Order: sequence, then C-alpha cells, then structure tokens
Amino acid sequence: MGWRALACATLAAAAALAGAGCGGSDEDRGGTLVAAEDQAPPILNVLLADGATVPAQRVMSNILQNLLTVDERGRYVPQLAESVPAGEDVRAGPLRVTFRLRPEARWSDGRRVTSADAVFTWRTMTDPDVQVAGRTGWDRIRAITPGRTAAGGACPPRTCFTVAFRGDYAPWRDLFSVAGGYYLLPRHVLRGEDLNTVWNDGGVVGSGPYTLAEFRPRVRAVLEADPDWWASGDAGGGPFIDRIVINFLEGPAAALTALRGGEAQLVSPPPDPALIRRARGIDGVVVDQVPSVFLEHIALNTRVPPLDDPAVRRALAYAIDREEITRVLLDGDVPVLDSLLRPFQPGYAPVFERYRYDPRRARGELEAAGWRAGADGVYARDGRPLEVELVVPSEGALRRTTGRLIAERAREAGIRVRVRPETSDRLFGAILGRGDFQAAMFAIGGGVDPSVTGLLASDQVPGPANGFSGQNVYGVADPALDRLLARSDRLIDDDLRAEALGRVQEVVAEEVPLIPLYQQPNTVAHVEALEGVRVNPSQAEVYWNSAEWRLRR
Amino acid sequence: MTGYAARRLLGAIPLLAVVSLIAYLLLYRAADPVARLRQIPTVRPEDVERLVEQQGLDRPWYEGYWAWLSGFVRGEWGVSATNRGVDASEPILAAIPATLELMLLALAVSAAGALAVALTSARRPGGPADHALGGLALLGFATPTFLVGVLLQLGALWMRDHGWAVLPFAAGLLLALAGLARLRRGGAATIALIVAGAALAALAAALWGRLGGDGRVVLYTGQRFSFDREGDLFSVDHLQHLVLPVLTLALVNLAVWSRYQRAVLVEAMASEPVRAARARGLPERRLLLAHGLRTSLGPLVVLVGLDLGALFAGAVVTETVFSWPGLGLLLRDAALARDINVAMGIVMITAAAVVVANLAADLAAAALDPRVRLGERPA
Amino acid sequence: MSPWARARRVAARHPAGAAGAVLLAAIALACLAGPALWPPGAREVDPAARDRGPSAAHPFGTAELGEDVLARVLEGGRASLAIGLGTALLATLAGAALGLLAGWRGGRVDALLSRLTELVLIVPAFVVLIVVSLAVGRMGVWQAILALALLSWPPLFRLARASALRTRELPYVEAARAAGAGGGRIVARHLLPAAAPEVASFAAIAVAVAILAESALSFLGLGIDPERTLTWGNLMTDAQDTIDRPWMTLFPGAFVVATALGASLVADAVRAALAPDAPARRRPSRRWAP
Repeated sequence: MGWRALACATLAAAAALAGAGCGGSDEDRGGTLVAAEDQAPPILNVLLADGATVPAQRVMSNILQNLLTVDERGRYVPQLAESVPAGEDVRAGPLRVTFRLRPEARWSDGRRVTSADAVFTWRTMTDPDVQVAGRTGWDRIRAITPGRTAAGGACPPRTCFTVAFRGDYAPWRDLFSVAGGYYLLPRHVLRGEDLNTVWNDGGVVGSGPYTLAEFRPRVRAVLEADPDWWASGDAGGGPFIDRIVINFLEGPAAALTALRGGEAQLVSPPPDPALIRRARGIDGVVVDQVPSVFLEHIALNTRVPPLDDPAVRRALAYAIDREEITRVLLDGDVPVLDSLLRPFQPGYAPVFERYRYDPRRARGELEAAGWRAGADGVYARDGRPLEVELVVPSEGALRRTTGRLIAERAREAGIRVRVRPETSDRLFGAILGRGDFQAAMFAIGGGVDPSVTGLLASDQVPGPANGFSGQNVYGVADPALDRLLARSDRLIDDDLRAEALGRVQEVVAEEVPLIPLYQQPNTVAHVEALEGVRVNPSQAEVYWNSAEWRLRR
Repeated sequence: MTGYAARRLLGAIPLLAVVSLIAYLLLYRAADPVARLRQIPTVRPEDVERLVEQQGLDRPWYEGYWAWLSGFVRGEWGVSATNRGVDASEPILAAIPATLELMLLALAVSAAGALAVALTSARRPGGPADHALGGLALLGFATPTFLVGVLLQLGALWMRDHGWAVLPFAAGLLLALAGLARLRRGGAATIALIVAGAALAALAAALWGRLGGDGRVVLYTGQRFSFDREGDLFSVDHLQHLVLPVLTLALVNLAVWSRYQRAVLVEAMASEPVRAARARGLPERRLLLAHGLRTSLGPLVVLVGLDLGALFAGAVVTETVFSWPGLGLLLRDAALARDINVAMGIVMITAAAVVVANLAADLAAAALDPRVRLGERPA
Repeated sequence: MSPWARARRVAARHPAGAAGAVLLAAIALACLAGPALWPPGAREVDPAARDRGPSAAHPFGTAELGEDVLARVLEGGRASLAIGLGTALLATLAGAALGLLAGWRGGRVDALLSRLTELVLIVPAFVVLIVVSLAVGRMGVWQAILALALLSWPPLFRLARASALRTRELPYVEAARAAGAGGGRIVARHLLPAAAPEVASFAAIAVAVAILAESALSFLGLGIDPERTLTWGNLMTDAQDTIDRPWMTLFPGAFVVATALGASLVADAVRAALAPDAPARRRPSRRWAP
C-alpha cells in the first residue's frame, strides 16, 4: 500500500467524520411543506380573546418567540433567554426574577431583541384598551427594570432585566413561555399601533425561524424561512425547509382527506381516536403522539344532590372504568391520568390510583352512606333513585361514546348515569356558569405550571360577584384548601411547592370534586419524508422545533 | 315595465326590514359570547368582565338591533365576532367572488346539461333514452348534495392512486351503449357510435396504469387554489380545484331542470305550430332544435331565477364539503360560531338577491313568452 | 269494483308509482318492525367489534362503539319518516287550508296571507332553517317538524290558492253560489276536490324534501342531536369520514335516497292519475333542500 492509498484512506476517513458531524446533506435543504389545519383562525393575534385559538397558535409559533419555551418532555427550556432563571436570579419575598437575553437575538428585520421589548410586552398585556384574553399574572408585575439583577446588582441594561412582582408568584415561568400562550413583542414595530387590529392582514414581525410571507384570512398562511435567523446554529443550520404553507380547511376530516390525497404533508388532528385511527391507516404517513397538558375529566357539582355527598362522588369514581376508556376508546394511546396535575408537572402525585374500577367498593361507599339497592339494581335512598346526569359536549362522537360507556359500567355498580349532549357554547356558557348540571365531561388545562388555584379556590366559583365566569364549576369552597392553594402559589422553592401541591392533590382525592380521565394526546400525522418532528405536550405544540425539520427528497 | 320593477323593489323593502328584525331576534337568542371566553385557560372572571364590557356583549336585543340597523344602512355591518378587527362586511365581500364563481359555473353546467338531456329525451318520448335519463334524473333529485360531494371526493382519491383512465373508459362505454340503444334503427350513426365507444374503452383499458395513478393529484378535494397559484383564475390548477365542487352543485339542478325542460319540450313539440310544420314535411330534428329550443329557453331562464335560493343552499353544503372559501362556508362558520353580524349580513344579501332574481325571472318570463302577463307565474 | 281491484288497475297503469309506493311501504315496515326482526339494539355497545365493515353478524357494519349500523339505520328511519310525514301533514293542512281560504275569499284575507307567504319565501329556505335551528338550540323531532313545515308551507299555499282561484270561476261553482250555497260547503265540495290531486302530489314531494333537509342540516352540524333521537341525517354527520368508513355514510344515505325516490315516484303517479289534464310542466324548485 503506497502513500497515495494512505492519503486517500485518510481523506475518506476525514470526509466520513465530517459527514457524520454534519448530519444530513445539503440536498435535504429546501422544499415546501404543506400543512392542513382543520379550522381557520379568526384572527392571527393569539394574545387577544378572539385569537387564542389552536390554528393561530400554530402559525404564530413559527414566527414569534418568548424568553422560554417547553420541550417535548414538558420541561422549561430557554429560547430568547440564555437560561431558565434559577439560583441567584430568582429571589423570593417579594419575587424578583432576572432574565438575561441572548445578545445575538435579532428580530427578522435585523434589530436586536432588547429589554425594552420585554417592558413593552408587559405594558401591552396590561393596557386596558387591549383586549387580551387573560391578564393572569401580568397584573402581578410591579415593574420591569433593565440593568438590575434580582440580587440588587447591575448588569448590561440592553440584555438583562429584572421582573419584580407584587408578592410571591410561583407560576411566573408560564408568563414568559410559549407554552403559556404568550410571546415577546417587538417594541420598535408595534409601538403606537392598536394591538387589537394591527395583525389583521399579517405583517407580523418576530424573532423566529420563519416570517409571515402571506396571510389570506380563512384560506391560508404562508411562512418563509428567514435566511438570517439568529439562532440558526442552535438548530444545526436550520431552518431547512424554505416554505411552510398552512392551509385552513373545513374540519379534521377534510384535513385528513388532504393528507391522504397528497394535497398536504402534515396534519395535526384533534384528540379524537377515530381521526387518529384514520391517520394511522394512511400509507406512507407516520403518526406521533404525546399526552398533552390538556386533561379530559368529569366535573362533579358538589353543590347539588346527590353529588353533594362525598361518599357518592367516591362511589362514582369507583364505578367508572377509566382503564377501559383509554384502552378501548383511545386505543391505549394515552395512559389513565391519576391526578389533577399531569405527570410532567412538578409536584405531580398519582393520588387517584386508588380509584381503579371496582363496583364492589362503589357499593360499599354507597351503603355506608345509607343507600340501599333497589329491585332494578339501582341504589336508592328515601325513595329517590341514584341518578346522575352527565353533560357532554355534543361535537364529535368521542365524548358521546365515552359517556355511553361510562353509563354502561356505572349501571353495574348500581348508579344510573344519563348522558345529555349539549353544544359547547351552552355547556361553557349557561350550564357551567349557572351550575345547572350534576356531572359534566370536558377538557381543562393550558399552561405547564401546576397551579390549580383558578379551578379550586372558593372565590372562583361562578356567581354574581364574578359575572358567573369563574372556573371553579365544582363548587369547592373549603377555606383550608384556599389557604393551601394561596400558599402553593407563593412558594418559589420548587420542593416546598411540590409538597404543598401534593397536599392539595390529597384533598382532591378525598373529596373527589372531579374525576380525571386521561390526558388528551397531541398528535401529528406527517409523511415519512418529513424528518425532525417531535411532538410537544404543551401549547407550544406542533411547530415548536420547526427550524430543525427537513424534507427528504 | 320599469314602473312594475320599481314597485316590486320598493315593496320588498318593508319585507326585508321585517326579515331583518326576526333574523336578529333569532340569532341573538343563539349567541352566548361568555361561553367562548370561558374555554380559554388564562381567562379569569375579571378578564371576562372586562371583555364583556369592551365588546359590548351584554346589550339587550333591541339595543343591539338598533345599533345593527343604523350601521347596516350606512354600510357598517357591525364587528364580526370571530374577526374582531374588521367590519362584518369585509369577510362577506371577500367571500362573494368565490361563491359567484361556483354558482355561475354550476348554473351554466346545469342549464347546458339539462337542455342536452331534455333534448335527448324529447326526441323520442317514452323511448329507452327517455326512460333511462328520467330514471337518472329522479335519482339525482333524491340524493343529498353532500353525499354527492363526498362520493366525488372518494372518486378523486381513487383516481390519485389508480389513475384517471377510468374516465375515458366510462365515456367509451356510454358511447357504445348509446349506439346499442339505436341498434334497431341501424344506420351509419349507430355503427359509428358503437365502434368509437368500443375503441375508446379499449384504449383506456390498455393505458389503464399509465394515465396518472402515481400519487399526483388529478382533482383537488379542497380549497380554491393551490398556494402558489392563488388568484390565477385561468390556470389548470384552478380548473383542478373547480371540477368537483361545480359538479356537486350542478347535479341536483341538472336533474330537476332536465325533467322540467323535457315536459316543456314535449308540450312544445305537440303544439299547433309544430304540428303544422311537421305536416309541411320539416324533419323532426330541425323542428326540435329550432322551435323546441326557442320555446324552452324562456322557461329555463325563469327557472334559473326562481331556483336561486335552492342553488345557494346547495352552495352552503358544497362549500362545506370542499372547504371552498365562499359565502356558504362563511354562513356555516358564522352559524357555528354564533357570529351575529356576519350571519345577518349574509341573510340580508341572500334575501336581496332572491328579490332581485325573482323580479328578473318575472321580467324575463314576460319578455320571452308573450302569453304570460306581468305578475303571473307559470302554474 | 272492489278497492283492491281498483288499486291493481291504478298500479298497472302507473307502474313507476306503484313501485315507489311499494318501496316506501317496505322501508316503513322495516323501520317499524325493525327491532322485532333484527334483535341487536341500536344502542348496544360492543367495544370489541368497533368500526368493522359489513359482515355476516353486522350486515351494515359497526359504529364507533360497536353498535350495529343496521339497527341504527332502522331506528333512525322511524324519526326520519316521522319528520317527513309530520312535515308534509302539517304543511298540507295549514298551507292548503289557508290557500283555499285565500283563493276563495280574496280581498284583504288573500292580501294578508299572500304577504305572509312572501315573507317566508324572501329568504332562501335553507338559510331560514339554519337560523331557526340555531335559535332553537336543542333540536328535537317536534322542533324539526315545525321548522320544516314552516318552510314547506308556502308552495302548498300557492298551489291551493291558484287552484281555488281557477275553480271558483268555473260555471258550476258560480251556479252553486247563486243557488245560495254557503262558502264552507263550496270550498269543501268543489274547491277542495279540485285542488286535491296537485296538493297531494306536492305533499308527497314535501316528504322527500323534509328528509333531505334534515340530513343536510345534520351534516352541517346543526341538526337533531343523536343522543336524544337517531335520524338518518345525524347518522351521516361525519360524512367526510366516508373515505375510510364508507358503510357509516352509504347505508343511511341509501335509505334517504330510496325514500326520496319512492316519494317522488308516488308524487308523479298521483298527479298523472288524478289530474291528467293539468299542464304537464310543473313549477320546479320543489327541492329547496341541498
């Protein structure tokens, strides 16, 4: 073997090593990805009340960013910030958090992302004229001070700022995270504009990997890769796909038909197993799923009989076969959820594990509370049979079939469950608002932060004081629980908070104001040629890592 | 005639006003904006209160109606609940061209098709062609439009996988069948039909796997344009998007109109002047084409005007099936989202269009058929 | 001649109509006697046999929870047929009666009723149906019948009124009036029989249109809620899933088509048999339902 062969071998080895380091050739760069959505977003502005929709979020998460986001395992990771603030940068009593922006962060027009943008975002979210969906937490911020750290020291004012809260506020991370549905806004573009209407025709400037090339209301949104994206190195040189076209179709069936017919390469169907089964049946299509932040549960109205008796509520929990529901109706795609919190949230404790389907124990609870089985097998007390009316949203077949399955199994435990479908509007409006129900099945959830105060605090019970719009539809009014919840919202230390939340979950498992069923799956169905998609459990959703995607030729 | 038209139009205004009041009442009852807000996780009671006040969601119905009416006559149709940044007239006006395109094309296809079918049937009333076409027309009348749309979508997906050779194959078979139906009469035309039909079918069968079928889209099952051809009305891409929705919308009208046209033609062919002409020796075909066609055009125009409401109903369903961004889809979305202002806008537009179309139909009837007096409708 | 013999003669002269009547009777019988003939209940769940295509045990396949689709179609038929017949009956009684009245009395009564009819006709019927179903919220069979009857009533009104206008000019009616016969008697003995054939024919069409309208409304997501009552329409709500589960849409759809077809055939035969001198061309747009 001469020196030439040795040189060749060395070159080849070097090339192989270089190739292995790069991962993917330049031939995989470019192309157009067509995605089909199952509804059109009314407006693009996800921060507004009418714009906080799933399709709008999916479009905007390619264009806009926030200080933090959530990865596919549900953990907070930095996006515009250098790191998730911790240690010295987080001081309690009252809470002060220091964020350090990455100095190389740029908006798509080349201007730097600075602390002034953070201040502007806060002022916009608390501006009384802007019709933002929710100000939860934003009105707890007292000030945002560039150039100062939580410890009181100094830092470069352009990229470093401290958020000072009034009091301690544990869910602070969600305010600055894409998973909370919030984004950092560019001050130099939006200052002086009316945020209620500025993005009606597009013109969104962000710091994300894609820019909004075209927005045709009710038809489609076209995103183009930003060739000078500041975080290209993070994504290994991305974004690789030149253009993402998001078509708005009429209904998930139409979206799946488009995927089937080659008119689209990516669809994210809602958590309906029939649709997911349909997606799996398409040749050449890969289906990825992950249990999401949204949980399907049965809300029990603790203020009306017969559910005002915790024994009856516990009996009902024993009488529902949650394992069968996830196995049969959801094809085992998601596991049974054993708490009000989700497994990836800090403080999660599987307190509902004890409520496996057990008709015998259900009967035991009922009999201990004075109910007696009637001739038809249904329990009765004082001549009144044990009947529970379960209200379900009428849209889609899944809720109705789940309700029917529940009714079947509950009958074996001596409880008669009647299913009553109502439109979502009626359910979330008059019915839940006025407490006009015994049991209702619907999904809750949203942010990654485990705070459940909005659901269980006594001042959140819908009533005249809050215009019947509180979210504590269960009617829980326990002062001790209130104190526990308020405390857990103030505990900045994660371990202490986990402990407090653990106690909250214990109370929930004892009193059973609700029965958690399962986490709704976040699903993505895409052609095999699309690589790099990692499903995300939070509202950061499908496109959270779109800069890393490639379309194989 | 202008006096009549003016009177009709003016007389319609109070009717439209009453319609608007009733429609507003009904829609107001249906809407519950707080429900929507409650479903957003970050919304708290104080946020709901704030938004209700900012958006004026708790006004009583008469205040809402008055606000709507005073805005409507000035061209401001109220804020769209699902698109708060814009006036309701914007999405409506943006959607009109798509629906207009769909309805006009479907109308043309139905009218032409109905005439063709009617001519073929009236040629030999009671013959095999008449029975066959009549049966098909009955079937078309009895089939829901959305079912047709969904079946056509199925067909398009099948063609994506197996190619579009099935179309010339079916055409060839039909030609051959038509020829066989005339077998007893014989003649060059019959032989030509059979031979041509068989040849076409054979050719299609030979090319079965070769025409498409490799996963490329032949006909689109959704939307109006592809993203890179948006607005390009005269492109092949647009045609591929148009075929299925237009066929779906046209089918029912084709079925109904063809029966009507056939009856008109049969009656015309049996009328005095035609019998006299036939006695004079004019060939049947010329009589049919010349006289029959002329007498049936008038009623056809009237038909089109009177059937506008049914055509729009078909458009609502068709646009839903094919995600066609038109007025019908907008109405359905507004209905599901309880968007009062957009729904009111569409109701008023369609009502006004029906008034104008009815008037046009009556004027056309009077103009084309001297026996009809203005103000009368065919029984 | 016995009624049977007469019926046989009519059937022989109008074979298509007879076939339509037989088809309708067969469907009605199947739906009514369904549970007796086909044991599986419409709501019996069988999670092990979910979403299967047609098989020996389930000739029409199974639905999301394993319910037998054939049983669901038969049960849905009862509500759908009830809606169709109820609508036609209500619209005929109200529309024809008022139409005869308007035609006979004329003057202010006629003007008022005609204006009312114009009001209903001015907005496309299906749009009215959509708005009404929104306002009603929870749509049941009765609400559907009332809404559909409201929309089917104007053409019947017009037909009856036109017929009454024609008939009252006839000499024998004039004679009867001169002889002192009361209005009610004239309407009942002369105007009604004259109008009956066309009205009956149109009523049969109204059955078909009502069933088609209900299924279109259900397809859009605004129809009767399936937990309360199954209808053919709300069995097809997820029609766009036909591509992967064709049996869920095609079988109820076939029943809708068959019923509408049968009703049309009967309507044509009724008109041909009872009013052969009526002009052959009919006023179209009998189908306002998409």
